[in-house]
Amino acid sequence: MFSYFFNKTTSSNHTSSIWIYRIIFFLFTWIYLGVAKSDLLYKLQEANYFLFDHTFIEQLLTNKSGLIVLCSRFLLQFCYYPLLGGAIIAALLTGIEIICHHLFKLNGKGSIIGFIPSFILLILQVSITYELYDSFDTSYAFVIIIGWYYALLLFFLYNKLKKNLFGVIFFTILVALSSIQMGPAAIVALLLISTQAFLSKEYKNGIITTTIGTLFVILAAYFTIHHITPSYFNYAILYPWPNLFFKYIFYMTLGGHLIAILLLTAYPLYYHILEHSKYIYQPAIGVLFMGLTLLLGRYPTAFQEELHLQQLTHEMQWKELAKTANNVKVSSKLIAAYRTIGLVTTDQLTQKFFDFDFDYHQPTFNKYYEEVVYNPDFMFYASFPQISYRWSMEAWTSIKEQFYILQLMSLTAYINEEYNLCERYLSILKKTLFYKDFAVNLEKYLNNEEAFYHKYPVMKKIKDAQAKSDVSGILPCTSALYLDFKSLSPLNTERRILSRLYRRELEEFETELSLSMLPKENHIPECFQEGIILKSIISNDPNIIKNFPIDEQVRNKVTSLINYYKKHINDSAVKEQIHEKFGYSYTYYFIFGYGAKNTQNKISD
Amino acid sequence: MKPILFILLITLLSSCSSNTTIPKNVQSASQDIAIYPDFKDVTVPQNIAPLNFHVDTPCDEVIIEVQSNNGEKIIEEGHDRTVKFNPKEWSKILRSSSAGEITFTPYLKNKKKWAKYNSFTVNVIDAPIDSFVTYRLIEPSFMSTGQIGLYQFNLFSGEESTIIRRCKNPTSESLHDQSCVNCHAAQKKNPQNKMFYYRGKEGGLILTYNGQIKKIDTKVEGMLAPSTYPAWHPTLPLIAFSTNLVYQDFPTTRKGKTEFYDINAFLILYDILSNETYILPNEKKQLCTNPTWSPDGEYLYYAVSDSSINQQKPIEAEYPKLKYNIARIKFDPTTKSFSEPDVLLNVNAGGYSATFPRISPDNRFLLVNISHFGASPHTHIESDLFALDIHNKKLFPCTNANSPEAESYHDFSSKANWFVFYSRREDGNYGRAYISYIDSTGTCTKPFQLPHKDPLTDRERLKLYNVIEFSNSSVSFSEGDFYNVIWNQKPIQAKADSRNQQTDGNSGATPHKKESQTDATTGASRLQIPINH
Repeated sequence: MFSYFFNKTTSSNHTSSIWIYRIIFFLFTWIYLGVAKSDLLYKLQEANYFLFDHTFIEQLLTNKSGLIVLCSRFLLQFCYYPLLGGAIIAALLTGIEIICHHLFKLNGKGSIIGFIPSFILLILQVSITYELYDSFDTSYAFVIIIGWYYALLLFFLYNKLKKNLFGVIFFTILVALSSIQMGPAAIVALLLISTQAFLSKEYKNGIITTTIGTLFVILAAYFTIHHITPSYFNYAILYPWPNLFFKYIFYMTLGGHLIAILLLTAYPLYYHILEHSKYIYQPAIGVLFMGLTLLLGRYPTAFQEELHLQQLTHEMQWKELAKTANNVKVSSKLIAAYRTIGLVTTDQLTQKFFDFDFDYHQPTFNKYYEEVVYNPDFMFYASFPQISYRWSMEAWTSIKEQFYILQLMSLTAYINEEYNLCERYLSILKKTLFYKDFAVNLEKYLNNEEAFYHKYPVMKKIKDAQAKSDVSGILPCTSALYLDFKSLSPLNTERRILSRLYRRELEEFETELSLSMLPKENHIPECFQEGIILKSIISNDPNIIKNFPIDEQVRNKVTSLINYYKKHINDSAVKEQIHEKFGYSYTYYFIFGYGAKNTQNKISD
Repeated sequence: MKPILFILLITLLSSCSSNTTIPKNVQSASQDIAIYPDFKDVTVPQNIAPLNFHVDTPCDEVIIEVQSNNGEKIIEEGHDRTVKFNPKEWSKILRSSSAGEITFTPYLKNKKKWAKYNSFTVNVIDAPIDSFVTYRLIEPSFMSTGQIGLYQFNLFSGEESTIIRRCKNPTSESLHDQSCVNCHAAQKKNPQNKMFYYRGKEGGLILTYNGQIKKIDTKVEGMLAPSTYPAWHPTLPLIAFSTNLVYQDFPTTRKGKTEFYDINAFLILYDILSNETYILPNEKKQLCTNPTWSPDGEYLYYAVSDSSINQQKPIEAEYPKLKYNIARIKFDPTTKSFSEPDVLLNVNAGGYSATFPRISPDNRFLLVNISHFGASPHTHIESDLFALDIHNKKLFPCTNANSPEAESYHDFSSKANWFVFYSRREDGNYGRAYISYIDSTGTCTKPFQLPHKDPLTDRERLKLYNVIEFSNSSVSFSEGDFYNVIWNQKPIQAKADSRNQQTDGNSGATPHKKESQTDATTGASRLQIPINH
């Protein structure tokens, strides 16, 4: 049975159908990744780091699995254009199927088996979700693909050399040495060989080779890793596979690889069943795997929307950002943060800020890391460049080096008038493939602030609204930061008053609104009007309203909403009913929004 | 066959050797070139690694002619405008130019035409320097666990190697355990007796002493925080520490971006042999930090502040009140006790703060940081290095070493003729390591940056150097040796010194041995300290 491999010719009957399947697989993968998962691909490359710089490359190559990580990071850059990245991945995965098809002689009805490793790799790629907000190396998306190419190459080589003793010795040494640069791909190859040998009962060569090969791989890892302790050793052998901290991805990777290895190597055992079975219908298996991909590649709640809003922010598509953020289906702190950026950049902050469900769902990942994701952007657009810089550094150090953070830090340095610092970041960005243009463009403005702020009015807004005095940036939230500035530009006064509303500090809100110039104008934003009406109701002082330009319609709406709430207070669906009847508003936020428990009592009393 | 082999050998050898020549038909540009790092007019020791550099002046090709004052020459071609010298040829040039200048003449090619630019010189002096500097690499402005590590740089070869990098323990349940590598120090530049702190869940004082690595928890009753800034006694198995309850703030506008301030800080003495921690009395409840020993071990110098922070008030308005002077206390090695402190340098009167005292091994100068306030001068744009002549109490700025940006983290070489320090002069953010020569009068030279093999290392490195110290050899333990102890050993708990019970920890009730006050105090107003802005 062992001679099955490499000796059987391919049946010509199925040649045309297999190419149709390949085209279908390619198109499915390309569209699925390039369109449906474009946000993920974009974010994966944003969190990537690759420089066309010999020092960077040398340093990467001195690390364990350096070459495979280097190649993967290089390819991941192309996901800057998700359609291009998707096409590359689809082509590579189709290539794996073609190699498997020829290497394992998958003929007839069994040829569909050749797609299984590619489907498994596709599922593994799209299984990355919140891990990318952590210290997860996003090059994993390509590491597993390149790893398979390398494993199949080794497998091919072994089968060519296995009958020659010196060939086998050469092979084991090659596997061990290559594992230093190619990481666990060598282990995948050894698993392919050992499973093949075990199932074909040709233990002598296969098992001995893989045993010695595995020992060599372990020894190679032992001598090349820096931290030679038993606890760290397992991780060092498997790197750059995700480690056990990312349990879900780790076990998926392990399980997926074992299934693929087993199905390919055991093919000689079951191909007769496939060939003679009336019920094996290849398209059905294909559809099953496509369905599995769609099912297992589903995102957690809010994740896709969060990714999309980030992409819009980083591409500086403000109007689209504000529009998309207002139509999100789920609320999360991340979404709220990016929505606020959309409102700030399109001058709609006070008009629309509370037109949103602030009842955040709990993130499925570490809460601290949620802040690390949105705060670099959020603080930047909130006109706190130094605090943004601090959070960028947090992301840089606690997640990892990433293109986007470098880009943001260069902008922060520019706004902060630290041009030498900005130049340092730009000099590095100029060594990237797709962020080079950004660097070259910003570099032109290093000695020409006026032109820069003229061309980018949003940046001017950020700069103009900056704090002029020092405040401790370690305050718990942005609203607290705004509250600490006593006298700022009118823009900040408005934000400061809005912060009082957000924190439900109605007493201070009323005082500060009175002191500001805003009531002297004929119109104040609706949420401010609602704040005044609520203050009047809670303190049972109707005179408060007289001091402010309150619209009768707004007054009626708030009164109706509160009356409705009081009437249906014990109804479990009161929140949904009010939303349906009145929509989102400051009053709605006051009663039901994030941290509203105490205020509900005030209203019901 | 033989002639072919011979030709191949000749071809191979000729491809290895430098055959660069000075270009012909050269025009005179009469301009200076810009290079990175800026090695122009610096003073270097005779055994320094090649001063490789990058030519920032735009050009298509570059050739550099280096000539010693004895006529020895190297002609080196740059690749991608980066000039790297052959270490053997470089060493020959340095040896042949003892106590003299070497001259660099640049030839730049633009649009197929070569031009000769203005020469620049480097001064070579026959003053011994320690072979290594050690430092920590860290990002400038963050709070959580980062990619922090301790490194050593060979000044004679230009090679950098890792001592230890902070890394996650894979057996830990949490990916987000906070840990940090910091505050390293060695006994008299000897890395065999060295310590650093590994902070976090598995942390402790990682001490290498007598060929062994130990993990020690020096914290005893009465200490509010673990031991922080260390100072090895030059001869005895003792380490003085400050124990600091330190906080970090991120001000919204100040360019330094981060501010560290002490809520509480006092001194302790850890005895390695008896494994005992002695809390030094602090009756006045002053903030005492940055200890350092005099070279003879007779005095412990430190920064001291009478001010304190009211945590009920806005913190950004409070920490500017923290101003430090430099004090010292006499140490009795037989009883391991200290006498009454005296203030050696008083700059508070002038509205300044003096921190990080370091004494030259010849006991001549005290190098100190002076800034407007606080104990984190490395983040203060105005922070400069000043030298105090210990004998005549004259304080003067290290003019040639200082820059408009922050300087800090200084350390003298074993022979007292070089000092290494940190400066943010490049961009106000990423501090780099510089070395300056200091003569017997306290005059220092234009400093040179660490001569990395790849001259663009410091430009592209997105980490800053801190706690930079000279070392006379490399650390003998591997990173794996350290992690074996960190991850697999429980810390040895230090015992409280019996004298601590009498002192009630920080409050301090033990009577001091009175030492007569010296007249060392020199008011800053009289000194008119030129603080840059």
